[in-house]
Amino acid sequence: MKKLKIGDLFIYILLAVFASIGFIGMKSMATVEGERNVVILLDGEEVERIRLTPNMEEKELCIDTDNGMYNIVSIAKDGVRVIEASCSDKLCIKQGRIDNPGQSIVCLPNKLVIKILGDDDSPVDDVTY
Amino acid sequence: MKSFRLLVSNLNNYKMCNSIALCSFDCYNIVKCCTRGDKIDYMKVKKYIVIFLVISMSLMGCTQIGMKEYTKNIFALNTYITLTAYGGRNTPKILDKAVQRIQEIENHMSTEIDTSDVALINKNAGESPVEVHDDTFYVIERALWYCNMSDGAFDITIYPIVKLWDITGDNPRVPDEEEIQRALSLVDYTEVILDREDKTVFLNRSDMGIDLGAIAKGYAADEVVRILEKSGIRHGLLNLGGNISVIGDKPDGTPWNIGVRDPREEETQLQYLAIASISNSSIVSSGDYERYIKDVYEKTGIRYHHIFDPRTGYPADSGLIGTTVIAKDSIDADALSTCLFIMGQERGLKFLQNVQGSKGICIDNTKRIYTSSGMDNILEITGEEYRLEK
Repeated sequence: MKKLKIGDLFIYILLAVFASIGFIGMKSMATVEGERNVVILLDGEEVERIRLTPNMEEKELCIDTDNGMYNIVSIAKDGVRVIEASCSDKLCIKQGRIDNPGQSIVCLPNKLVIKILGDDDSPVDDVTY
Repeated sequence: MKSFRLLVSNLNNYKMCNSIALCSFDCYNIVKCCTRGDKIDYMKVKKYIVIFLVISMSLMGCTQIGMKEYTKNIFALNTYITLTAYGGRNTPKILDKAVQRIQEIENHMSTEIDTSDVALINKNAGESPVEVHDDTFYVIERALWYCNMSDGAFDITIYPIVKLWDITGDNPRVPDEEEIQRALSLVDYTEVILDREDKTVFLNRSDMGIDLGAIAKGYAADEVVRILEKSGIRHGLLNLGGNISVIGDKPDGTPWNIGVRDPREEETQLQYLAIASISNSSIVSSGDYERYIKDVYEKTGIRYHHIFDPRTGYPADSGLIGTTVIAKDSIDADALSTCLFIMGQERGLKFLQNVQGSKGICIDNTKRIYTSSGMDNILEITGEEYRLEK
């Protein structure tokens, strides 16, 4: 019969403390509350990333493609929309404003994607259409 | 085995809690023993503690730690594609391989690329057989199987009609009756002649043409799944212009929840009328809402959309506004959602029961939802205006 050494006990307690700290830390770091970011992708590559804040001024960005096409994007506190575009179908403009995380505007002819990233409380992972 | 997997996934979810609980439990016992001075074999206690620690550590190690979400966005196959995979640091390389494969498929099967197998088949219609790549041959063979099974409701020789209306092109228009009849006389899948030995495809009459648009995206999704799985990816979500394929479950061990788009919410593609919970399969939708002649619709209220009925030469008018099919392989889900849309609710759902492992739903123009068998447990209706018919 051996006695438990005080050093062993110390190590176990230390482990428990570290584990608890790690657990609490992970939970609090996992999400930044309510932050929304607008990400603009051109042909799959990220070209802009802008944070949507409650008191930001409206910003207009012109996104030029390599072959002389363009989309003008308006970014404001209440969301993002395309206000002018050189594409043939103008579907990106007709779609209007998006403001919720998970939403996106796609301009197929110009290979442009605008999406909003953020805390996604949507119950779905994606939508089939 | 199943319960074991369940156990593992549950443990995964609570990995941190577990290890803490185990640790504190150990400490509590040790302290208790020390203070009360009970006779305890401490070697044994220590052994248990070590075992506990090893188990909880390894549980922590084998889960999400070291597994990250990687996404790749591309434009191909006439649509916008998002590939999401969960894996280690080599995942971007694996996704690049998948993208290359998609581009290869596009180069073989697009009607718009002059050098593609399909463009060459169409160009040589009525003249000579064209030798094609193995994948093109496979897709055409599978497509013809659907043409046959659906008794021509699905027909890849619809291309002359597609070109005539040009719904998805730059100058969509409503052709006159005579033009439609002329184009329609060229639509007949029994005049596609395959030679399995030489891997050639021949269209019997000149001006005939094939369009794999209703099936090629499905095949591409299956190829991406194959490449990712072979490289060890166990969780993933692919979206090829609304065709969705999922690999495994979500990283947390629960099924993927996929919304079915509300066909009458034009504003955003994110409005859905139902949620389907799926693992390891593909879900594909067809409908009259995605591409149609908007000007004519605004003036007359008639929706000339992009899914044609090979028997009439006009956009399919079966009373349905949307269909969604779930199948193991995306190539099947893709073809079947089109079949279902053209065949209509009664015939279409019956047809679906004949194809093993497939199930689906259709939505008619009075906002009623009909389902095939096998949907009850995985479908939740969320659209308030829609009613599920039994």
